[in-house]
Amino acid sequence: MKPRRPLLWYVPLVLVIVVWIWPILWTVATSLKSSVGGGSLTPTLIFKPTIENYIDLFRNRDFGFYLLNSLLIAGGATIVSVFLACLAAYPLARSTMAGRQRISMWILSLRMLPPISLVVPFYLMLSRTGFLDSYPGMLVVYMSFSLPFAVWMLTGFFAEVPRSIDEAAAADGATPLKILFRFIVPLCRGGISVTAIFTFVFAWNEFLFAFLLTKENWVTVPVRLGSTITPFQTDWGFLTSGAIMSFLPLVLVVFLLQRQMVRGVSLGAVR
Amino acid sequence: MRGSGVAGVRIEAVEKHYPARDRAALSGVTLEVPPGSFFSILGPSGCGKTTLLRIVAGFEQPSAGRVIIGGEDVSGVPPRDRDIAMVFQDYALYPHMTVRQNMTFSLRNRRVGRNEIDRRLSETAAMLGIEAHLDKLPGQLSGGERQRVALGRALIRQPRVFLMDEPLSNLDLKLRETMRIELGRLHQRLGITILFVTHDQAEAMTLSTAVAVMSQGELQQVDRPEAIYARPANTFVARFIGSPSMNIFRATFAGGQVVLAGAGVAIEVPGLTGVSDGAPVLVGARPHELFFADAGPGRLTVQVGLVEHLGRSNFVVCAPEGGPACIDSGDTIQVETEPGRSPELGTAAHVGFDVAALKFFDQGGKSLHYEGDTRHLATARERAMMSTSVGVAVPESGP
Repeated sequence: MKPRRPLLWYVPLVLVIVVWIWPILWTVATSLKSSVGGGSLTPTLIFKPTIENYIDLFRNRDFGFYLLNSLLIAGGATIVSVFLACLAAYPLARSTMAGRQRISMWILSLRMLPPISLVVPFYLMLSRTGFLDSYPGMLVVYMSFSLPFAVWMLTGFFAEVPRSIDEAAAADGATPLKILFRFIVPLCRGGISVTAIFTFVFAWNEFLFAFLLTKENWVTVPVRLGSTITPFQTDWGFLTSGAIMSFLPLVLVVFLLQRQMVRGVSLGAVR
Repeated sequence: MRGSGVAGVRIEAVEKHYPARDRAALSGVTLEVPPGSFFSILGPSGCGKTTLLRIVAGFEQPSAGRVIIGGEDVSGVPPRDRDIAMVFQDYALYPHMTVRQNMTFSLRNRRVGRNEIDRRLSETAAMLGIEAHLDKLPGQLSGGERQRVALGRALIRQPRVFLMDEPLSNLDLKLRETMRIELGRLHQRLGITILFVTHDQAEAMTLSTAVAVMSQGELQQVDRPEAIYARPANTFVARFIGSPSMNIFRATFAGGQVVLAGAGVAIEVPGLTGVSDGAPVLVGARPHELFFADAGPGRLTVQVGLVEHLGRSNFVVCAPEGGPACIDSGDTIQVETEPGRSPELGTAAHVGFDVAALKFFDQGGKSLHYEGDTRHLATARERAMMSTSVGVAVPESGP
């Protein structure tokens, strides 16, 4: 039997939960209210829940299109970044070359740049090459942030695999690429999942670049939702149900990869 | 399953320098490992023995010199094309693969036929007694089982040369002895070439057909194990091989006898030739070549400091009277006696020398020719005696 904790111990816990959960509950509640009811924001505890906002979202507002855009861009950026990051992180993790630390730091420092400082150059580059509001354009822009981050994360994970695994595989006849994809990557599944989740979440939630670099074809969920807030009126029913719909895929992704993460981490024990 | 292409290894003038270090990790190492031999590289930690093995494997590049496997210069050939198998100190089993996958990876990688893989797998697994574990992951195995799988992964390949980097050092003492015997049997049965790195002299002396002793990146002596014990090339080898270590006294050669420094004890050594009168020499005597006796000429007077009881024999640590006279041992000597025949702690005693068995070295530590030692060529019995006494005295990781 675990000893019971004193009641006082729960007070900060409850406080934290309320602060974190409350906005989500509020959003869920508002999204379930009829927009005919004036879209009022007043928290009412008792109301008749309806899913008409959600039906409206997909039937009249074409929300599926924006969800798909977000999914394609965030998913694509994640897959390409993590794949390329594996190729870059492996030599970085294994190299004994002088200045290796500096390379890692330099890669990471790309992440520290305020995004706003890059918007204008990106805009000019994309518009002059004709890649504004295009899939490849968005991928490249997102990768400029996610790739350095993924390389930095994976270098740390890869470095934890004992070198003797590489050497045993090399003596067994494996080429460096085979060592990476047959040994290092499977052994770092947990770390790769974590990296993939972070990369995906960043791209999924990204607003600034998507807002300025897309017009209609590749508008993402955050941009679409943001555009409903105007000085004249805000469609709360649309905004909240859309927010929930953009929130669910993330929860799904984390749940899906969570099993991988746990399995990967438990397999990581080499001895 | 005799290896089809058993090959020898030649290491030619290999040097290794690391940028950050002053001292060379390896300097001018030349070795000939004959095909089918069990060749040990023995030395204290940091002597460069693992670096040398890794250079043979191709994991590291020598700063100078060549490595030749089976007559072919493999310098610049990546490890995967050297046809070598390596057994690592930490086994380096692939944690995400079953024992079966671990053992067959190299064969699958080389697209060996399915039937051939199955045949070799069952043969190797049976030989090592790991048939029951084939579908387990390495994490589910005990240390000894992992060791067997690591051996099996190497054996199944039938490579030209086996490289082993302290493969037994992670096992507990008892298991280590069992695996040592098994390894010796495997070598005899398969006639394979094994290059074996160890810091454990018992492993090197019992298993090997030849031993190379290394210190500070340099080869000290390469010879059969019994010859290394009986005729150490220098004081390092003399003190490193055998446990407890050989006692080495400072002395001066004069008129057919050596006079020990400090104590002034004179010992007649008619067999010692080629040394000029008045030259300083070093005199070596293993603990069992010393004995307690009555006072008399040629006897060293000592203070008994400590008696170590080991059951079959005692080691008596004592301090010679007359001041510093020994090298490397804090000016104490060790004498082996039968139990019950050790002198009392704290008393004075007299130590005699088995003159025929003494070793002599010049001041630089190099072995000197001495007629007395021809009588002492180690016999099989002595080799056995030594390995047992080593086995008792070396438990480095006691409870």
